[in-house]
Amino acid sequence: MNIIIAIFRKELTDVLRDRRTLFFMIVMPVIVMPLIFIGALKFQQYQSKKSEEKILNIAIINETSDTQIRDYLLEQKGVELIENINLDSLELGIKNDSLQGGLHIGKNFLNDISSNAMGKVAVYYKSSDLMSKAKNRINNALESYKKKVVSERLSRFNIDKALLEPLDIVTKDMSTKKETMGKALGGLVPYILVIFIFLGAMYPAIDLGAGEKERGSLETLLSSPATKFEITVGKLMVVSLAGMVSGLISVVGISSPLYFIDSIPDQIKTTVLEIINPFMIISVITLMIPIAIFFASMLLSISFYTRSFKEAQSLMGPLNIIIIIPLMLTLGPGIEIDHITALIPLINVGLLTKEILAGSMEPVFFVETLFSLLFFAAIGIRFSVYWFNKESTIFRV
Amino acid sequence: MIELDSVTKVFSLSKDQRKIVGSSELRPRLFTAVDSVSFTCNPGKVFALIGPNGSGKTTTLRMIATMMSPTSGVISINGNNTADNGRLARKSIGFMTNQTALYDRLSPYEMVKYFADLNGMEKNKFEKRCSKIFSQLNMESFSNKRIGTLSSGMKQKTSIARTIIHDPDIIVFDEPTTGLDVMTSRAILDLIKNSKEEKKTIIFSSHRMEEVQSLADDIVIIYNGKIIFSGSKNDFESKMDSVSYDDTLIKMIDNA
Repeated sequence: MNIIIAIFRKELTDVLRDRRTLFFMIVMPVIVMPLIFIGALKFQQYQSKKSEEKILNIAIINETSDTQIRDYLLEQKGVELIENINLDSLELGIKNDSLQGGLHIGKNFLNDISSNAMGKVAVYYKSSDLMSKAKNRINNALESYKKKVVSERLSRFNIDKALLEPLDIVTKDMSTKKETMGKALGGLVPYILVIFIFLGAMYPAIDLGAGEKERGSLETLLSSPATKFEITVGKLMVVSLAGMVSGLISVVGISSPLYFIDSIPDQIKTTVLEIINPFMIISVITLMIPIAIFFASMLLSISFYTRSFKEAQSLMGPLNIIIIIPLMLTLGPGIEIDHITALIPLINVGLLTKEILAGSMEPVFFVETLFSLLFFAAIGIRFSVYWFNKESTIFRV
Repeated sequence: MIELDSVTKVFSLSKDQRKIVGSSELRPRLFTAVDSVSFTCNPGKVFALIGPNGSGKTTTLRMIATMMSPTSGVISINGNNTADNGRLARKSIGFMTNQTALYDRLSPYEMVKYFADLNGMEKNKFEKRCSKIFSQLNMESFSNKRIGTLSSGMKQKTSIARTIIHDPDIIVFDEPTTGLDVMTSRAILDLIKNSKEEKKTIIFSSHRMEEVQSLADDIVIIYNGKIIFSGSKNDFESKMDSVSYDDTLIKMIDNA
């Protein structure tokens, strides 16, 4: 045990003096993540505001004498109507982005409406222009016109509106704000947590495995009285700890924007702070431990196998994507935690975190998830030790 | 004392390694790196293991240091079979290569302390031994600086201190001076001489026959994993046709 402690202490000192590891373990989650988060939110708000304020050039070709649709369009916010234009110019204008939308009302339109038939209008827009609100604003104008025509037709036939709307649906959302917010955040938190546990563990793992090989220090370490088991466990403890610290800091990092973004309503801030309670923190940390051990064992095994820092980096890079896939699956509709999903690593973390944050976690699923993660962590440790014991791995040329 | 009795080490070659050796066979091919090697290294004597690259020197030394296990045969360190108690064997061994194999972010003191801890040294004993070695090697002025900032000579001294901190009975040197400058090489050669005076068992591998000539008491020449010469320095010199150690070695390899 003393040897494991000696290895742990030395590796920890070494890792804490490595700028690259410190960057991924502390600087990235504490400073860069909140900056990215705040920056993305601010940018989104700016774009949304810009899009709302943008004056949209909408062309209208009206072959009737009726001006009601035109009037409804003018009522829409930020619309500049372009009239006296032909169809070719309208289409060309939309294609070259000088127009954001267009409306063509045919000459039979009024006849069709007055004879209780369907009046044909054509709406022109570009679906690739994601930020454009032109289609929405044209539709709003047409919807207002449609309601007016329907209302007139019904009164002409003395029909009560209720005949067409037999149901008076009143929806009552019984979710608490904490549940709603918890489920929404629950989709995001596991991503951040898992990715940062992985990133935080990655560089120490490379340094403690491939780095030792590259320096030639692994040989001298192996010639010491430490057994391969003790060396592996000592290194695993440090890599796991680095992953856990990084994960924990990332959660603090993504929570910090709450204090810096004024535009987040106080109600949301209060709800989020209510979610971050001691029970939630203890539960998430309990899940983080086996995840970090599992990642550490896999990363260290790869690192032991590789010949150099560079080779280790190139092998570990794609793993980032592989670990995200199970978490993405948890965002799909209808996927809930049950006795099967609770046993599948990472999927169980994604689903259970949602429940923990929403305050609706069932203890049995927590136990099952923890059991599953501990099982995989144990396999990971066993594999690392087995892998490190192989001469062909350690002395691979 | 180190005793090797019919020690053999067989590796199975990977696909890439098979390509290097020019085999087109799909089945794994076995490669015998060390073939029935037997010798004894006695305390107070310097034992030289020589041979061309790829002859099996490093594999032999790694097996002695218990980093690798022999496929067959027995290695004993101070009478204990390494297969039964590798840890006990390693406690008696200091291992050194031409690479300093240090951690740049630690200080020489921390580096040496780490290996003392791995060897289970008590704190008082460590402090005494550490200050003695640091004083002998003139390391006091840089003992708390980061290794990454030290000169190659300072690093080599740290590497020496790390190797001998636990006062091992046996010191294994794997090509310790290859690629090193004269000054740095001198420090290692002095260590070998001092260790001999302290009646330690020393085994070293080398390409430099002038080092063998000046240091070795016993010589083993290994080629393609097999011993082609084993005897004292006098035995080796008695087989010399010329004054050159190099020429004699080449002739022995050619005749093998």
